[in-house]
Amino acid sequence: MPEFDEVLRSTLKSKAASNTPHPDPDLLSAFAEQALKKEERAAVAMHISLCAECRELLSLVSAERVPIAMPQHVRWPAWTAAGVAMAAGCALVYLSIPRSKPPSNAVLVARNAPPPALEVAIAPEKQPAPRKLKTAKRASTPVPAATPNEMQADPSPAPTSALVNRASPAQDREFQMVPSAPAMKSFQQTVGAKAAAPSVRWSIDAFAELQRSFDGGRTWESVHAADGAAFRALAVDGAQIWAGGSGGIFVHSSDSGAHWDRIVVADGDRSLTGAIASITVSAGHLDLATSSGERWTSADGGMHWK
Amino acid sequence: MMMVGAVDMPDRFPHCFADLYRKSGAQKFGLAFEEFAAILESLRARYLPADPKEFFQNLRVEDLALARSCARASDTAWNVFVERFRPKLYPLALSIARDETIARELADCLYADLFGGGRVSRLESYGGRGSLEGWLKTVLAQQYVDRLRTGRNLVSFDEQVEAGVQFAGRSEEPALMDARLEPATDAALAALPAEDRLILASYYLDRRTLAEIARMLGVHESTVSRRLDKITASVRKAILKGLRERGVNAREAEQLLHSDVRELNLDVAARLTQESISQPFYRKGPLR
Repeated sequence: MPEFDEVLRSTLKSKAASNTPHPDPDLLSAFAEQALKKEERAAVAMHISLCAECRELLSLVSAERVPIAMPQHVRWPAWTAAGVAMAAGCALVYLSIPRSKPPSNAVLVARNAPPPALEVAIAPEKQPAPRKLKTAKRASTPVPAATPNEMQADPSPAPTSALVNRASPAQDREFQMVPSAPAMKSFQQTVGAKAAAPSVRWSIDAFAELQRSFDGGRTWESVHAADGAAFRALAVDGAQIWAGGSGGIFVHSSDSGAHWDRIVVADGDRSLTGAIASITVSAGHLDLATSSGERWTSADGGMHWK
Repeated sequence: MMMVGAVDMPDRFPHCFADLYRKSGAQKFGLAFEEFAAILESLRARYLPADPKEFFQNLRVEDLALARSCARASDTAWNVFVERFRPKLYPLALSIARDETIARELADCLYADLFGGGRVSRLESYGGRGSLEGWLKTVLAQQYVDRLRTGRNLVSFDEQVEAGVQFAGRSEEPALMDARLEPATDAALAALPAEDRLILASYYLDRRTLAEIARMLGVHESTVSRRLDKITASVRKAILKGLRERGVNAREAEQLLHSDVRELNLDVAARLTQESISQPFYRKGPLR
């Protein structure tokens, strides 16, 4: 009975307009959860039946959960044991050869896939500026990477932050990423956004951890910037990363996350309280907003705060 | 004065507010009874329920207290929210966007909106009618639709030219052969219960599957199938009856329902005007 179907379709389409206001997300979610009383449910259903936009929303809200891919355990065939034993032997021999000390305090945890090959510029370390801040040092292996077309080596010396007091074994070298896009200016603009078009992307994941991606967001790795930190705000300005969160924790990296400094935001006896809710970077000024309603500003990259 | 724990509650509020306040756990987030009562009063003013007591009893007060306390920057509330709901944002976004990158961005953007960062948190608009998780998913869906629309607006004219958009002919609906068929069909559809009409619109207009419609309505697919058959049969019967009432004999009426509807000519401009009468609520600014 195709003709009858067409009559219905045409008539429904011609009448597809509703003069009633759209239900708010509260009502729509309550409708999807069968939580509305009969009369209210009928009123919402009437609007939705006349409103293609709300039907689309309801359909999205009712969509099935997508299973999130988890690492699979692989059952290896028995003959691989011999290969593993041989590889272990080779590794022992390799490890017995003396070599330079590797960087310690590795803080990057590969999550989904190893990062692509690293192309970095080795630049002489500048002397750190006199420090006036209380900082707690964390260092990491300079793993961050991008393919050559994502990151360019810059022959100029790396901009060393006045906050950084490099005391880690990795201090004798540093790499630099060249930002190729306008800096992100605030949390809302930067969370989950691209720091540079096809380059490094930063985010905060569902577990309040800092995340970094070198492949346009396909795979992410955790970046451990501070022990026990629950991050809520992030700002990215090229290789400069600031992150803040619960308990007023505020960390900074001037080298795309290879090294982190913890910054204590204080002005004399007064120090920041609450969680850092947003970080704004603008023309050398750092602005923080906290969950307790405080505003903190630094005009010198975080050395002094008001 | 009523007493809830060590808190005094003014008598001017309904007695059920005290029970709801206890049940909500608002006190542990530092949300005072007067603030909580004011929230409940604002919800009553927003929804104007016929039976306020039943309305209040059906509110998700635990979620409501949590959301509104987060909006008021309670660290205790935020810790609970981060533990209970933040891990759900990405899976919820993924169920909507079906793309990991977009889902991550949706989840992150929503979290930023929820936190506020100096502005009014979006959690301030949560009213507790459904679960907080369901509300978060609905807001994510809105953001996703907005994102799609923005993306479409950003399609360059060159791309449109390549796609042949400028040469697209005016789409016109075919006219019904008999002018009496349209009012008869209108009347038949208007008499339908709202949910039946929703099923018809989803099936015939949106071309959704029975499974999708079932999920929208929270029923089994077979129920939708049965209801669709029943609705279609009853609408057909009502149209035939309407045609007979308009002077069409039974045989002609049957023929009309089998006529070539490609000749149906509807005023496309008028229909578009009708469709734009109500602005989407997510385009109206702050959520109610």
